Amino acid sequence: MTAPEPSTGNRVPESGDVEPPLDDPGTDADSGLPQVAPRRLHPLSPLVSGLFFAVRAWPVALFSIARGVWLPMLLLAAGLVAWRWLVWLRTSYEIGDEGLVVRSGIVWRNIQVVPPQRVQQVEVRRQLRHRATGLAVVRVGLAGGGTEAQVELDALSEQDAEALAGTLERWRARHRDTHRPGAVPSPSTDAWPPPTRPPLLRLTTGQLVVGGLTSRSLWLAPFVALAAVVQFVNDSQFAVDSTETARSVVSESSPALLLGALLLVGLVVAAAGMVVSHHGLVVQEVDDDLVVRRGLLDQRTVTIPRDRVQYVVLAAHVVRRRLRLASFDVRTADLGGGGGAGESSTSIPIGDRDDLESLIPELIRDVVFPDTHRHPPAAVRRSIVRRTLRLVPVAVVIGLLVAGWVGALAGAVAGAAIAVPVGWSEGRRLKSGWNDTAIVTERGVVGWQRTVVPVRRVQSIGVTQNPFQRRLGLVTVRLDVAGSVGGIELLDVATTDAARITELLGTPLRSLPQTSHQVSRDRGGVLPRPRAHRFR
Amino acid sequence: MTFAPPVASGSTERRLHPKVRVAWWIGGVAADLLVIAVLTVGIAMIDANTDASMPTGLPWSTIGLIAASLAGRTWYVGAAYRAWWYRLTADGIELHHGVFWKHASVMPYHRLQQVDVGQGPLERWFGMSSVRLRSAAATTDASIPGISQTEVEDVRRVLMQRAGRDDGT
Repeated sequence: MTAPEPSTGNRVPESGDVEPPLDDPGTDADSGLPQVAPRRLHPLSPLVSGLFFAVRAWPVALFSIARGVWLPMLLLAAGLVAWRWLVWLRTSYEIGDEGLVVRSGIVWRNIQVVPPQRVQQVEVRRQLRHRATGLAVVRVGLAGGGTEAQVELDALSEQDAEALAGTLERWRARHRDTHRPGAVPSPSTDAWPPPTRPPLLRLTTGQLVVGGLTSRSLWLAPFVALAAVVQFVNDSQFAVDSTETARSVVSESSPALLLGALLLVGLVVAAAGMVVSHHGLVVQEVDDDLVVRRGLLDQRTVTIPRDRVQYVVLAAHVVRRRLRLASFDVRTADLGGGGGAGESSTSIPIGDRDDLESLIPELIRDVVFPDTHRHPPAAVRRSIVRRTLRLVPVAVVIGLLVAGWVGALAGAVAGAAIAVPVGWSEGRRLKSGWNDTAIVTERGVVGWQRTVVPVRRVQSIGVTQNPFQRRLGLVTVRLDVAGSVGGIELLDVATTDAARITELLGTPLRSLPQTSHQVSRDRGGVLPRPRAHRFR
Repeated sequence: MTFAPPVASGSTERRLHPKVRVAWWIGGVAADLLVIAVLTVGIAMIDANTDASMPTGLPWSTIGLIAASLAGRTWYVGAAYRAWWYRLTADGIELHHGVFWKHASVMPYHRLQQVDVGQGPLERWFGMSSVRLRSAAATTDASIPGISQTEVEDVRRVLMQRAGRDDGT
């Protein structure tokens, strides 16, 4: 280590100090963990982030240009740079015995300490402004969501960022190996950089284009078509007695052409968006971690430790199922920065379904994947009823508005004609399976998805039963997993099977919800109902 | 590290503090009265601004609603209290509640991250507390709305002895 002097913990380098290079982090003899002396962010970072903030102050710039008054703009720019420079001066990071320590704050000092066992995933991100200046942002994701549950270092030089991400990973793996009894130390932690292996998955631009074309924007196409048809009908009515002024500019052109153009624009935008955000997506195995790289303009590298994966979701809507395509989402307990709404930076937007399915055992090891089975027939009946209750009233109201009572009747018939087969199909596609190691559940017809959760990741289990389910001997089981936004739902499972699922946690439910009388009078064991179907 | 043996009362079912029914009743009736007051004022304003052709039956409709609220809440808090029970087993906590929608949940002790004990003004008046158990998952539904102070200490002791061996994150 070429630091000017050995770090004594709290020391922050003076502004005149030469930053020590981070190429080879030293190793503390006592703990065996790599250490990094207190360091500042890259000296260019105040300028880069200041410019980024300046973009948000565009009204001031506009005002200055319009009035020819340059003083406010100059004052603002000077203030911004001074503020960011102060922030830079007061921000430092280090890796010490207790963990990653980040000190920040100009007036109110803020010290974040992250112990190694709390790191969920590490992300290196380079937006356009960073790529222009050779910088990179390191984001350390912790369990939970929002800005509190992460450490963001904006920005380091590219080499430093890569090295820090590597050090954090190495450090986390070493800590896990020394602190978890019985764990086999991963042999490759000493070799750095670790040997590169062939990627597990690589997406071509062609695949991304297909992914963009079959993304959610595809659902807009029918509405665009509908709008064009309505336009066409209106035009043909107007065409009889319209003057030049009555015609809109749009109706001058052919409706078919308009439809085509709109569709094309929508699809091109969708495909281009997918290519830009996920260009060159590659999933690689480095050490014992998975590394996902992607992005054309805004480049991201996410390192997911394999022992941090909470659950995976494989999703494929009806068109993608026909094409044997799917999308894939890997979830850790880190819900992502910002709102924590669950938009994950570790999702794979498109891919060959077989490739993605073969990725699941790579991510979740030491697990035997159970076969899935259909939920009991009562679940199918409930699915039909649920779909009918949702669709038929809407169809009746539309019919009533369009053509009075005859229309309402026609709407009811048409609604039922759609709802019953869709509900039946949805009910038949409700499938679940479990064993001591994993729980798998599938649902959906139009938007099908399969969720795979290792049992060791389930925090708690909730069981809910409404009065209708009670009559049919069904319950809805919710698996609470760290990092899931709404819990993972197993809809309409037989009561007896729900008891088996809770047993997997080692805490069997003594009795599952039955009617209120049964709960208050007879709590001795699970009461299997005559109509409850077992499917295992 | 040694763990205390399962408490003697470990497998028996525990119930909420009986006075939680009064607290629920007061809260529920207060919410109902607020809605009824708004409704009554609205109807009275309509009555005053139109001719007397609309049969709102003002004094009696309000009295009827209040009576229905009192009777309904009285029945409901009893039913909710009877449906609520929980127990601390050797490995985890199990909770059951719900009158129409039945809820049950289980959480192993070793997933426990945090125990929150809270006390609102009504709860303080009746000498009870509510306990909320948190795991690493945000969706974990394990809160006990009203138990006596002595039982809170008991529950917290049992829980904290066994918490946090493996949080699964």
